[in-house]
Amino acid sequence: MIWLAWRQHRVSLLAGLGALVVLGAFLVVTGLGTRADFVRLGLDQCGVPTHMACAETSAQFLAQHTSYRFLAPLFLLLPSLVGVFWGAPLVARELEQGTHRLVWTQSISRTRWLLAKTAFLALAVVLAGGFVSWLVSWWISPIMDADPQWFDPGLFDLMGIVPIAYALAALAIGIAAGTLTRKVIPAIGLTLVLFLALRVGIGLGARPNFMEPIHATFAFPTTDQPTRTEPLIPEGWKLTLQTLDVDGRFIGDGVGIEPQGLQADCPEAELRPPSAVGSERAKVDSAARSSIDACAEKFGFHVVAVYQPQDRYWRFQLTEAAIYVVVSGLLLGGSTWWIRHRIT
Amino acid sequence: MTAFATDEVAKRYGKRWALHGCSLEVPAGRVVALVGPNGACKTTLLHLAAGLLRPTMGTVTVLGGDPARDLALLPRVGLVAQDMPLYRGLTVLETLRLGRKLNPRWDHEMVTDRLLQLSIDVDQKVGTLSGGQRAQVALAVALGKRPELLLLDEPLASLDPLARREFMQTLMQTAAEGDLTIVLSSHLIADLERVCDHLVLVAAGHLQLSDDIDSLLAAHRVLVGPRPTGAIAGVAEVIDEVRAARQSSMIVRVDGPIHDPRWAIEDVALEDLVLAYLSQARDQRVRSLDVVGAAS
Repeated sequence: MIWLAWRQHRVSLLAGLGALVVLGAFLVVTGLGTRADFVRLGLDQCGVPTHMACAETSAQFLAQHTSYRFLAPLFLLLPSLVGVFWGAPLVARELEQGTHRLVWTQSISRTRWLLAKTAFLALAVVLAGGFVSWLVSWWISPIMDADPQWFDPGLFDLMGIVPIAYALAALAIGIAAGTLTRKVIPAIGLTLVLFLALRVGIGLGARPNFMEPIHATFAFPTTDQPTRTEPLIPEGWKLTLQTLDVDGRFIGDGVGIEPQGLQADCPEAELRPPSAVGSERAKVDSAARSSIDACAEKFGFHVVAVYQPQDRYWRFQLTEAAIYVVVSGLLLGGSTWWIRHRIT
Repeated sequence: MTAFATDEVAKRYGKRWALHGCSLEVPAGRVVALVGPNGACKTTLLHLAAGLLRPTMGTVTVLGGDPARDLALLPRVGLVAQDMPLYRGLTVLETLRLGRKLNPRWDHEMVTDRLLQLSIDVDQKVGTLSGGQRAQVALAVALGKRPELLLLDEPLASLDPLARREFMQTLMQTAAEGDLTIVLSSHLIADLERVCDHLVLVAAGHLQLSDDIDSLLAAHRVLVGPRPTGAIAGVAEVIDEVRAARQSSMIVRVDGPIHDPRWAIEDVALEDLVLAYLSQARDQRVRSLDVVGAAS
């Protein structure tokens, strides 16, 4: 049975391997470039996280390397390809071409047939998923050192063990969809819809509530402090981060002040000082700064954060991966039952 | 000994009933022709026997077990399904390897010898084989597992006359070698007559006839003569009647010698006999539909 699974899927497995090699080469080349920049700017001497000691250089480095923001969504799509190319045709193609009448009348049961084929592909999926996850972690790690955002949606989904679980679920969804629809093309459509629905549902609906988030209040920094949020607020996944005044009035998003927020409390304070040049500008700047600081102190500006702290990262990874593994198991169990009792 | 039996079996696909209350028995060690018009659910019956389908109602017994539940039956039953499903991308040798990997009783030597005798290139992809060669490979895979019951669903339908003859030769050879029960569905009755010794006739999901071909031929006659006005001594039942202007030709089941000189008595050909029963079945169905129509 292992031989048959290999023989039937070797083309798609080799195609997958080819895609992995291309992807790997791309990640290695660009990843090495990022690393070289990281070292060239001296960020490797700053300690982790680098923004503590080298805020400006770190910001400069991040500004140069924004491409990961465009690449991340591509990796989100990778697992669905497993469902489309490996999962959906697994049962549907046999039914469509009538070859189930050949393979199900040999001496092994349909259950064993399905489980052997699925186990074979699942192993390939785990290896490929683990490899991609590991490589992406390596590739993105200089950026994470400069700006730790492992927990953020979109990046959380790329690393650790969840990508493997996503790919397994995509495979199981594909198999189940093929079993139900009995046709490859509708099975592919159904796989994409179900997989995206599951990802969006769990990513946006369930994940923020795996554990009760922490609600905390932090002092608003004075303008001579670096305004970056991280030194102020612990690392992790910020669900909400807002600056409020003592009455709870909205002042600005994140650690910051917006004109209309400031207007209510201190109409005399100017957020953006009038344009000036040279030493004149520094004087105007500092005057504006001190008026804002005075206002912030007078009206008790503070930062309210609702967040999942960084030390929950692996717990969240395990929870999310477990959900997908359970879903995969249920779908495979259902498919096995359906094939045994309902098909033909 | 029965190789395959159904008892009041019904099968429903969605809302459509394919079989209703079909009971039949196929004796072991025979070569059985399963005959019926298109849509007579021959495929359903064979798939029930192979364990591919479960009956909606009733019981199916194959070699003493329930084919849909008893996994131990899988190695003992071989199926050559309609249109010879094979993996087109596999070579012939790989197809045989599939058989060897998936069947504990696989006889690799016999199968390869058989295909070599037919001078089939085993390194060729199955998708590039001719229809006749494909049929031979499909048959070889089914025979390789050394089944006790071999089911063939319309194996001759897509073959040209030469391939058909070669296929039937292989089959007859196999039948002669061991005490294998073969069930062969087809609507090409002339081809079956040479190889089969038992006939099971189904029409519209019902069993019409099930008997040894020899005794069937012995029990039926063609009577040519005037149109009958009353019962004829020795005739149990008129199965079918073809009327011409002056005379009619009847296929009848006999229960004794017919001595009436008004009719010429001839032996019946299997094909004519089958057609007679099929048209009888169709007339009955039309009548029963009329009754339903009148009642509603």
